[in-house]
Amino acid sequence: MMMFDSDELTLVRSSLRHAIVAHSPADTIRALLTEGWNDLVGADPAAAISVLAEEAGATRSAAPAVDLAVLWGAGIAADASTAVVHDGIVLGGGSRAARYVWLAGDSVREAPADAVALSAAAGFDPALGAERATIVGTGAEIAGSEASVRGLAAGRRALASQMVGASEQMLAETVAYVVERRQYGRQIGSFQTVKHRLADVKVAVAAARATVAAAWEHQDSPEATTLAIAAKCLAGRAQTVASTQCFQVHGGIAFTVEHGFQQWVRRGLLLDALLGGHEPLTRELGRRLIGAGTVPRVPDFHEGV
Amino acid sequence: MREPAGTFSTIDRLNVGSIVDDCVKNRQRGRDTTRNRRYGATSMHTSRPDPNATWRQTAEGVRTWMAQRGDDLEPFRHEHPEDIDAEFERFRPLQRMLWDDGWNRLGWPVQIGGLGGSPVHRYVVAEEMFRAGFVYPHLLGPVEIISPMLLRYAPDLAAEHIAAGVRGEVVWCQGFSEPDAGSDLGSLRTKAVPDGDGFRITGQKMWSSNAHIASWSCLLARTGEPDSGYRGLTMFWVDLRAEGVRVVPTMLGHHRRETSEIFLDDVYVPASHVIGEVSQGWAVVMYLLQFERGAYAWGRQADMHSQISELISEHSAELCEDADAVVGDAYLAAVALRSVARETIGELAAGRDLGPQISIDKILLSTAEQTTTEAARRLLHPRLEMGDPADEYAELWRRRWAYSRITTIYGGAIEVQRDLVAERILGLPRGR
Repeated sequence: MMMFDSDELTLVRSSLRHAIVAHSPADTIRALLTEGWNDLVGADPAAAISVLAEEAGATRSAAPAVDLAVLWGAGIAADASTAVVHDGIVLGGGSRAARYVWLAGDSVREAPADAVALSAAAGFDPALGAERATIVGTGAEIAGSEASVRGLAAGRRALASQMVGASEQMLAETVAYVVERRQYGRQIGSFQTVKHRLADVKVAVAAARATVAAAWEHQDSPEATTLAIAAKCLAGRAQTVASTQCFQVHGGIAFTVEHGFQQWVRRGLLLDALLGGHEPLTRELGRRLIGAGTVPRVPDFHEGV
Repeated sequence: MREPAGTFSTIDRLNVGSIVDDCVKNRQRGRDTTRNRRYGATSMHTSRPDPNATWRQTAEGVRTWMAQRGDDLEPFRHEHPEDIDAEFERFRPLQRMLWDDGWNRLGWPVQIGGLGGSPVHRYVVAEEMFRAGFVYPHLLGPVEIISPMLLRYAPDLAAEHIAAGVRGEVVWCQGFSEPDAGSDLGSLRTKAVPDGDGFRITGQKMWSSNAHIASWSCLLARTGEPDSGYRGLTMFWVDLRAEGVRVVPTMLGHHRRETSEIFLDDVYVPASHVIGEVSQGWAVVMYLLQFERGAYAWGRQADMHSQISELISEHSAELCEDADAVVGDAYLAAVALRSVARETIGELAAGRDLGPQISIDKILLSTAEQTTTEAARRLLHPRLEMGDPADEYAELWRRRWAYSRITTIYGGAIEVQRDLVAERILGLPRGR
């Protein structure tokens, strides 16, 4: 359960959005730390990280919300000169870091900048500023396996929120477009095929959002990893449905550089791929469940409703 | 489950375990453990349903009760590929037992024989029974869906009928669809005309689940002009044993007479059996449908979790090659449905109407049903497609698989739900 009430949450959301859009990706963490990120995440980590990641998603920012989530999950204090390496990838502005931290499964490790070689890894989405980090040596252990597991789960929940934020923004832009755009003498949003494609986006996003909330509630339970994977799978699917259906109903205009919608498709592919794409993670989920011989019945009802 | 004399009884052991469990979990969360300790202390000697208990306490209470009732519950451990009337007869004693021991009186108002408190207690009870490997009676489904409507729109009928329905003394059904009006309820033609202190109903209903074993039907009929659409409908509580009613079951593709046609020829219904006001039937049926998509969805996800667990535990040796992806897929459908339904039930329990949001639940429910049965077909391949008809487990899954094909049709086709999400949530232009 979140600690903030809805007015406070609105305030948190607008100040986080401001911190993201007013700064370059590399400066966003510095700005957030100056404005009290550590207090915020200490008071209500679920709200702080989810809202930051949703806003990063909705604004298509390259701000590394996932870095802050991983560091928080692993119990490592964030600072402006630390970057996180996710499966060999460093996000926006990482090349300016003095220290690199990564989750090794059995431990959390760090290495100084001079032990890390960065190379181009822009892939589908140069705007995100991804770089490949090659680390010389094995680095130094700074935390154990539990920290690594918790950091990974937090990172996956954050990426799920970022994809939820991105998908909702894609849907909002597309709804506005299909209401305005006319063909065959009518709004294209009045065609049932268009309605159904966009309804499917809404359903997929609602499922992902509810499961992210469930995953946060169970962050300390034995099901934390399972639910974090489930949330990321559902959000990865939601962004796939959103970018596919919203792109289609835009028609050709979405493919122009000037219009920019194709940037959503690119961003979605990269966010989904980070810390495990939804297809391999669905298999991992199945493998875990088959191994356990049972499926967890979570989330539970909120007491008092 | 029997313990030798001189050791902890099963009940004591369960509760000692749960107290330790609670303390550990609460310490991890840094929360106060007073509430759970208090329950632990009082529950040492009893497992009575308590409308003021927390959900966790109700869950622990019903677990203790199941352990105490072990032998009595054993017949209700498995579903069989049987027809609906046989299934009802088999599970009636369980409905009665749940009422007599109070677990199914939780959450119903005291005025109708319940124990009061939130209906969420009953959903917790249902889930604990599924978790323990029992089958929660399917015929409680219509009771859970129809009763909230009676409580809200016809308190006298609620007081007279709900307890009998919960106890399994009678079955209820819905009478909505017609041969020329499936999801399109605005086109209903069954007519109700005033006659003295009541109405006479004439027409034909179709696709009414459980109607051939039902005594009562909540039935929509037109009291307005033929072209009055949604405005001219009224909900009635119709005695299916009355003169002029003929019920003909339809054998469906999963080899069960799941639904029936109801023929009504000048059937007299007293005015006291109008649910809500005359010509307010649309509002009444919309209220009801929230529970078809809320409470019912919760029960279905609980069953799906059991079904997937059973497949990967008892049948793990025969799972197909790509089982990881299939199981992962099925679990995602179930956990998404559960996460969304949980929020919906919270809203309904707080007395809030959900409006078009509920169409999202309905879409997730129907697609989860199909994902689960398709997962079973693939995991057990080729046992369903080409297996021995005498193989009861495979036959059960064949029936579930077949029945799941209509989950995107009944209760409002998925196309209608998508229209509602698009027009009433996203705000796209109405009409086609």
